[in-house]
Amino acid sequence: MATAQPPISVSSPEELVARRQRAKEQRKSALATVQRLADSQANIGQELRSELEALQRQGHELEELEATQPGLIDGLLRRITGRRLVLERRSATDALVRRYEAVSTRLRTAAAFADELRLASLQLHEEVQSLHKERAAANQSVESAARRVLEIEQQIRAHEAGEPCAATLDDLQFEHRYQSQAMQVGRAAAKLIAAEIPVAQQLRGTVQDLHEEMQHFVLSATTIVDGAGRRIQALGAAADAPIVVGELQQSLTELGEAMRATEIYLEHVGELVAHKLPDLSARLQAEAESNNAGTQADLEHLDRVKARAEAERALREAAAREVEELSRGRR
Amino acid sequence: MKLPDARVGPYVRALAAALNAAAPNASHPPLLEGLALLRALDPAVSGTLLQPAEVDERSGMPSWAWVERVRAEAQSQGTPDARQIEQAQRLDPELAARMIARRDLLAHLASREVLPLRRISARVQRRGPPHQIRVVSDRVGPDGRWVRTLVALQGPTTKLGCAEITADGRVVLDPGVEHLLARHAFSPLAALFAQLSQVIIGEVVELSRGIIGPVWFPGVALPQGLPPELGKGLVVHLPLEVLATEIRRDIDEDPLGSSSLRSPKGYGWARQRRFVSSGRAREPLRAWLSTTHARCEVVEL
Repeated sequence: MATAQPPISVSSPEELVARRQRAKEQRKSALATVQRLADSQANIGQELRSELEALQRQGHELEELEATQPGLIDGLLRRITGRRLVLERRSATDALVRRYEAVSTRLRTAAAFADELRLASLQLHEEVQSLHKERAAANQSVESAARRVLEIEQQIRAHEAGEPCAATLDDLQFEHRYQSQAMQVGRAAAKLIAAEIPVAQQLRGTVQDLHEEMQHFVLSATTIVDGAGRRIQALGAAADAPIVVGELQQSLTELGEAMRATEIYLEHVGELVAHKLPDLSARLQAEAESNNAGTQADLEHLDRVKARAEAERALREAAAREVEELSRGRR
Repeated sequence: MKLPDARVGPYVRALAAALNAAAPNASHPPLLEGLALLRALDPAVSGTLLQPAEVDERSGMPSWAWVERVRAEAQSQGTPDARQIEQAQRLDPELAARMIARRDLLAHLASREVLPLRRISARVQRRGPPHQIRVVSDRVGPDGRWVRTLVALQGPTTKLGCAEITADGRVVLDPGVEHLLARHAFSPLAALFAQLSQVIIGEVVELSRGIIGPVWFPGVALPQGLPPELGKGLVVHLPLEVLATEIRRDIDEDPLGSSSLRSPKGYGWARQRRFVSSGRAREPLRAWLSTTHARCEVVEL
């Protein structure tokens, strides 16, 4: 995940083009990261399901064995005649414990991955915050340039009404044009950044969803599997067959719950990978194209009359933002 | 029994100090591996990553589930890199602490041999005839105690029934031996001896079981009938039971030995229990021992 960039002020068309290019690359990189995270999440879930199934199957086999040959487990501790018979006898609980260990390892991997998702969501959040700051800085530079345009406009009018000095007039016109362009570029940058914010927010939301689901799943599955594991490993110490089978049944019931939780979880992640991410990707692409066209239009040449109108509009918009901030109670 | 967060570090460090003082011999699970395991459980290395820190209520040892998490973490994937940790430190200190704990734990596990949940190995002790091999099985028991079972087998040829000595001097064990030792990790030594006698061509010349645990400290349930003062400090047990042809006379120096000694013909039996005790429990321990038949070494912590 790309680290959020510090706010920048865009003051020239070249910088704006570079800003747009950077935004495009960041979006592409962030989407690829989210896709990779979602794929990894789906894989970890599939592997867990497979290990849980094997663990459950092994438990059922042991249970069936005990049902068809009562006292078999109890018999593990009895003296058995014949070398081959003794050596062929397998520790039933040992096989279950090994399966449990495989599930436990997967869960630890899943927990580490949940932390990776948390970090990714924090990075995206930082990026959103950085974009907010960047937009505020762009709006501020537009506001400042707009004020300056109107001031210069007044100075030009005053100058034209009196005895015009060609050098001063030329200087004011030069400054007017410079500030008009700064205002125009600032507006385009603010618009571009404003369009990036929902994109980053959507990506952040997607990663947050992934993290929440993974964290919830890891927590519930760990609790269930831990409980089952404690029972399974305790079987090794139990010599009383009815207790062994009773404990085993309890463990299998718990593992069944873990399996159901895994199924639901995999369904959610599968939906995300198969539909939500491609939809998001297509939507972002369409937004990027429309935004690109808008920015080009914003950079067209402005004459003095239009610049004044733009400056007045920029100040009205700045005032509207102030009112909005005030009504939100932030100030 | 779940340990409160503040007690986890003192618990594992006190247990490590006691084991260091006890200096268990090769009949018990290896000291250095045990210390490395306790170090892995120490929040100073693994933070809260391996919690809940559970202790078996009867043995007072780290629970099997707690120890199993060390193994699972060692085999899991996802070591955070320096860049991720640095970003997490800036964005979420709690997440960063978890990532640092994972990094430190994995580094610790990569640099030390840690006592495994189970392990079996065999080597030739003497080229014969008679040929002698030694099988060592280490195991963390269901109640958290650490158990080492040693079996010395002797036979007239290199084929010992459950094991075979290869031409290059290695020992190939039948997989059934591991399962046999797993099934009988805690059954009376006589039962294991009887089973082993059936699977070898030759004889069992020595069979021993050395255990680390239980550990008595406040909160652990003592066996019935013992003075409660014994649970007010720290008392670590190191019982050892040996059945061997070389032992001429049965010796029982275990005040908690449950089964009566009945050695098979031609074998002698020795049973002892060493203790490591902290100051508060030492005098009550000595007082209680004086009321039993056993002469036990008490190592001061």
